[in-house]
Amino acid sequence: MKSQNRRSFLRASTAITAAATGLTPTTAHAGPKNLLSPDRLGVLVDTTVCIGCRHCEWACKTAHDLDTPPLETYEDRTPFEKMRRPDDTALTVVNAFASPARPDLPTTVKVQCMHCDHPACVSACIVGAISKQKDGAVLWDTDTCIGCRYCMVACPFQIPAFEYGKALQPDIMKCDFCTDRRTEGKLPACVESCPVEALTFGPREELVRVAREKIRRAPERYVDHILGEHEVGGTSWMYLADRPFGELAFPKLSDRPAPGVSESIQHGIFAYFVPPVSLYALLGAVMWTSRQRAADEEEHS
Amino acid sequence: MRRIASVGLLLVVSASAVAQTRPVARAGSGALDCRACHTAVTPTRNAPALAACPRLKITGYHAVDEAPPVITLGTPGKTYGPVKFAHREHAHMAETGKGCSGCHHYDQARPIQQCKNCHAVSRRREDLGKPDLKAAMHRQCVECHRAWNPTGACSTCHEKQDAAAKATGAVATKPAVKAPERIVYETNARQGKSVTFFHKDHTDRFALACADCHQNESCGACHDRKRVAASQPVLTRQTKAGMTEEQAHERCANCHTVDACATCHKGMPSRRIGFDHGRRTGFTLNRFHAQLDCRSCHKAPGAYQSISADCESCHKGWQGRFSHARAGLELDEQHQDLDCVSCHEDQTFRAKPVCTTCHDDKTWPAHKPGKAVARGTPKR
Amino acid sequence: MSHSMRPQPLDRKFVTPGVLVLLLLAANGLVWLGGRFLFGLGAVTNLSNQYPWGIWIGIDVAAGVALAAGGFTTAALGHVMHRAQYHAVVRPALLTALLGYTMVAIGVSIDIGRYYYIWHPLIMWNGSSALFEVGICVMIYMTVLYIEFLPVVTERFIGRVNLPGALARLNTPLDRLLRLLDRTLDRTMFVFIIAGVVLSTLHQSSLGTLMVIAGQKMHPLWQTPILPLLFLLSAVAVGFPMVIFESLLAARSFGLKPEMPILGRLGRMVAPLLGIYLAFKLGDLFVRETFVYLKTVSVVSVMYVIEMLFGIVIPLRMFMTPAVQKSPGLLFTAATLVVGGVLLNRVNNFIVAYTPPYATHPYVPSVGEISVTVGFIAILVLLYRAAVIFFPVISLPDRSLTPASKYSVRG
Repeated sequence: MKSQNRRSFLRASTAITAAATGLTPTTAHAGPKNLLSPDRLGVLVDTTVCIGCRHCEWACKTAHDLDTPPLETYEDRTPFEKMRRPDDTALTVVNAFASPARPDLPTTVKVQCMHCDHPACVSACIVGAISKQKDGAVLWDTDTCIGCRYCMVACPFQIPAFEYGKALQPDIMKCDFCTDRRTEGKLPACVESCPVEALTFGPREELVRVAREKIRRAPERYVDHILGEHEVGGTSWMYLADRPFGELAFPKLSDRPAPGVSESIQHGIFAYFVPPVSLYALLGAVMWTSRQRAADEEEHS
Repeated sequence: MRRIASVGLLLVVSASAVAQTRPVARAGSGALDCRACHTAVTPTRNAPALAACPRLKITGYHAVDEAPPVITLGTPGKTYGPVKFAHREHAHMAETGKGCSGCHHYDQARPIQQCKNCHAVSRRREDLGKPDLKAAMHRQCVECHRAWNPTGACSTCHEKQDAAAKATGAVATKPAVKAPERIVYETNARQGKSVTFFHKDHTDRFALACADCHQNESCGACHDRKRVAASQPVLTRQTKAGMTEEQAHERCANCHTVDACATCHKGMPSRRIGFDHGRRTGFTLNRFHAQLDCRSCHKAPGAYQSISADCESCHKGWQGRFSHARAGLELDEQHQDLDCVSCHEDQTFRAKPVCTTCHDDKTWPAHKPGKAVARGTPKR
Repeated sequence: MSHSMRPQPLDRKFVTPGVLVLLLLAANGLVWLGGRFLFGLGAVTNLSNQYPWGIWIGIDVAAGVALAAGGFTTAALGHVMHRAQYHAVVRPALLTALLGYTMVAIGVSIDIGRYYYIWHPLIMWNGSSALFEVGICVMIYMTVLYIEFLPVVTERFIGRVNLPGALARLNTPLDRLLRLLDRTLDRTMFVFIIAGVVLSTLHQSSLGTLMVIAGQKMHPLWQTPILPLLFLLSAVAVGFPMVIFESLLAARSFGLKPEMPILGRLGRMVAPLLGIYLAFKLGDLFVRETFVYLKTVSVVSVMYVIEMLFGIVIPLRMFMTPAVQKSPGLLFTAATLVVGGVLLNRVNNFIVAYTPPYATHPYVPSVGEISVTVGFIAILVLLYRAAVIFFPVISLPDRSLTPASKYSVRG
């Protein structure tokens, strides 16, 4: 009985170890995409140029088949009286911030998904429903998502929104970088609609160059900071402003990718399944010796 | 089967190739000469050999009145029509601002370059360094218009498309500018902090145009929507911090003597005091003239007009009835009946009188043709 | 293994006045739950785009997993370390864990927007996601728990399969099947027991990793890279107090004599475990110099102090006192404090510490959320009561020596 137990114990342990290690390569392939192409696209938002016409809001809603009143109604400035955030009815919103230099002309800032280069949502998503595309877009896949909202917990910019009002098939709503429009050769809806081109669309590397040049040529117009150039490891959407970004309700973020700590913990715990398998082996050994000892005691008694 | 597949493949490849090609705006017919910007014959991307940008004076049009009166800008969109741009009117206003080059930047030779020669018509372009045409135009207009119309409503400039269809070419008028009556400057002088500037008096009496004083100012400085709405007669201004004393006095000192501080630095100075008549007009007021009201001489209504410096123009037929003792010298008998011009060669009686007309050995004031008396006390 | 104590079904009536109250609470919870399924999460919860997770995750899931830790700690003690004297508490702890995890699984599936896609993580993997790891581990561990519980079922039914009517023909094959199952399990149970401990270690810690990615959205008093370690240590520390808590509660509820010798010995082991947890908590507080946040009185600082003082320091002192180990009342108080402390810790981590940017007002759970959570706890208690009445879970002084089954949970 004892020897049989011991043999089956060993056999089972080997089988489990094999199964566990066998899983490793599958896991490595199974994760969501996070491709960083040097040609990836982005948008440079120059808040010093933005006039707060909110045409981008209208264009975005129109492009994404969301309900919107006609464009003329957007001349109304009352929405600026309170801070708004993107939600399931609007993937982008423009907020106004009082400007100390020009009280009559507030600084207006468009907010939407930043399309991070190392997105926390992509790292966090339990089923890998969010992925970083080669062209820079961070996209959400409706066929995979289970609606757990961990992406919303993870996002450092607090962007993904959830359709709380829907009982069935609620979606995670966020800017999709107008991927459909772009495959048709069009520009993102907001970029196309901006009358003053406060939103410049192009290859991210080029945009960084353009932004640096803008700052160099008009140092009195800009703070020497391109938000998104380095924040959370870089974002596809970047911002220029005439004052520190903290005053424009941007969170202060480090340059380390947002999922960094979490991923290194995860990979530490699951380093090729060595730690769990070792723990398994250790516990097995403890169990075996303690049972041995108990059995011996029983024999002696 | 294979053929179908190959045709399909060809379609896919060509479609994607088309999708890859971005329309790049090429310079129009009146393209810039490359050498306007590049110093090298064959500039490359890495070595563009850029010359210092020639923000030269406009030579295309010399006077603002030669500028085209109205220009139609932009193509009609779905909602809004093009803009009837009152160009000449803006050119006039631009005189107080940056002038023609405020908008026609980088323009260097006639004829004036079209915006689209540099600013790409398509937003999908390679050179992202400068805005596309639509953005460039909007930025030019919005820069000023936003100041007095912060809503930035499209219909400020664009007509609604349905209205535009039956538009008669009417041009939106510029917002009214209401000049203040006076401006009280809160200065940082130690005593007499406030200095009142009688803006209306200056513009009315001296028939000044805005651009005579206002140069290089932003449009919003005057077309301030809030101020126009409130139309305050008296404005209060704070002297900018960090101004040197010289800078602070620069404008007034063009006309006024600034050595007597209290003339201006005392809340409400008399309107005349401090105006340096001699300096501005070449006709220094003597003590009698200085006591007069401006209107005693400048009789024409409205702005003060220059009048002849000839005494006869005011003092008609005075010659012969003048008691010279009023000037502080009672002429002796030999000189009493002489014509004034015998000694006072200039008609204005300003220059030193000459004796050489008659005497070779006499000079003023060593030799006097009479007896000095107290001024203004004629002895009859 | 000769002992006078043997697990056996309790001979008690199911319905009591207390049970009626619980049934009412459960029904109320289910009504609200119906609202969630008919009208969406927004209709019942106070969740928002700023606060995507509320008490259904913070209490039902995070605290639920932590408080079910008694299952793996007693399994480690009783089976892995083979301390036979604790076998009496293994089964109740196993049942608690089993029911707890079942509730966690249900809690997760009602909280996710697309509950019908709950199976997605099984085939759609994201190795970098802490939540994925938690999900997979919980799913496997739950299976393991059910397997571990199977011997209780076989023990209950071997020789007693008595299907009515036409199904009576199946009695014999079913009985044979049970016996085969029982034999197989007997030989392989150790695999599952160790797997259970390993899986618990993994997901208890990964539950801590969950909030690490929230970064600065979480208050520095709780946000630390050693969150997974703290979660694991607290889970280990709360295991025995939870067993004590639940055992004393059950004893009182069923009018049984508390098994003070075993519970007292368990209590003795709590102090060092709690001490290690406290040491790491304090170490983290001082290494990251987050104690500066305690200088000002705010919701977070008060909650942190309550958690530390009443959840760790006071019970630690109590468990170090021999008198506490002997008195059921004091032991129960100390255990309750630890349980409450860990519960509060999970709520703090997932809700109080979570201060997202742009939130206009703080998250306060809605009546619906509270109702559902309370309803779940009520159902949990009811199921526990039903299970101990029906299955041989609680050890009683052995009266009938007829070997209904020689099999018991053996490693």
